Amino acid sequence: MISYNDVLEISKFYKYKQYDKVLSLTTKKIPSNNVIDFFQKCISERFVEESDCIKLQIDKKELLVYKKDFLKDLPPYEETIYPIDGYHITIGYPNVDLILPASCIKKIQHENTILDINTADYNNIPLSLVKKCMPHIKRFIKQLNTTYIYHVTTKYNSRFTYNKDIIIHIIYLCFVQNYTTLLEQQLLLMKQFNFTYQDFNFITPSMIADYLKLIQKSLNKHEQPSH
Amino acid sequence: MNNLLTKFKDIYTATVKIPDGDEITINKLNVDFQSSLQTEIEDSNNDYTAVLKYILYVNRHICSLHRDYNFTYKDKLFLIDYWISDISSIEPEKLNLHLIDELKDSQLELQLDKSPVLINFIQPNILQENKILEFLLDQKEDESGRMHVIFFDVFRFIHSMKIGEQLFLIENLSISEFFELFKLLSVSHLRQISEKLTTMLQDVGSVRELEADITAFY
Repeated sequence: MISYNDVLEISKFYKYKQYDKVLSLTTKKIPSNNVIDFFQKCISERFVEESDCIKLQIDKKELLVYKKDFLKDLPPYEETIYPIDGYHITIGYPNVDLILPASCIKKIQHENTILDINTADYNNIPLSLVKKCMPHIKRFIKQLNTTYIYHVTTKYNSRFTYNKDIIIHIIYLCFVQNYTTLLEQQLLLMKQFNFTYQDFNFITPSMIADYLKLIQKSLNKHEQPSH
Repeated sequence: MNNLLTKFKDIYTATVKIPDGDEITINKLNVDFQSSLQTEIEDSNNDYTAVLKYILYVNRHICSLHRDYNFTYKDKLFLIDYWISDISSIEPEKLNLHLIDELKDSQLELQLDKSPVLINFIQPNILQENKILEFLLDQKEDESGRMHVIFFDVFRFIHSMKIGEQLFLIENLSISEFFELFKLLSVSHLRQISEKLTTMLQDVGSVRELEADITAFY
């Protein structure tokens, strides 16, 4: 779950251009097996209600991106085993924590020994073996790159490319909010409504938005002149 | 450790004889090399800074193979060619590295405001290259650019410059003094030096290109 405090932290890193921290914190909070798994989880976190949308400013107008239009044409996860250089190598879609072609390699089998690759293991894979896998890796990357970051209409769309900057941009679209506003809301809830800082580790931004709506409604009711 | 990881570690070391030194044991390149390289260059403000950072990264990797040996330019080109060939699973080509030895016997004469300038060349070594690279990367980011790459690529090969009757031995100059000398030269002078080096090192031109190609190990 991405909590209010997580969004606060991600937004702070983004505001101060600490983009690597944006990526590392988000991938830590949303553990995933691959980029597709990661994006699907981002979508679930970002679009909770039917009416949830991402608002973009394009051509001086507001473009609303709903769940159905976001990360459109994201392929379903799949992997294939290829015999390469005496090994049986399982290749699939890449990861988000190691943004390199090598992260498409998921498993290496040699006779009866199987290596299920985790992040630390990647570093030991020889580049000569990665190079031999490249024709198959390219197929997966090519397919992944048919995804749209968003596709609202044929005029208003943005294509995805598998690289670090684009992944950080997607995290920005999903989770970055105005840092000062987030802090103000948090302070208000702590000061006036007895929330503790720790509470925000267990509450999503969407729930906080609901609380604030109720508070606003209550305040409006009390401000109405009595008859 | 998984048997396959042990196998990778075992079979991906090699013993090679470097051109200006003895046999050394080297690790063939793995994803860690690529990943650290990516981290090293990704925040570069421009392509030229990325190139300088890439060269420094490869140089430092080479230095780490044998801490008490000062690798020469010939050693460096040999290792780059060896690694690239290994990654591509092709036999390393027979590099004509001996022509780099001929640099020390070559000269170039230029005219600087009616004063003759005589330039003598030398084979660079990696420690000297690293000093130049660290100096350049330490300059203000907005000042780095194409000229810094040219400065690096030209001046690492210069042994001395005689301007009029005054002889400047590069090894006696600090990099910043060296850089001031460079600024005295016009684009035309730089082109002449660069063309001289390109012609002399033509036979190893393809490896020299890889030396500055940030995509070479991808």
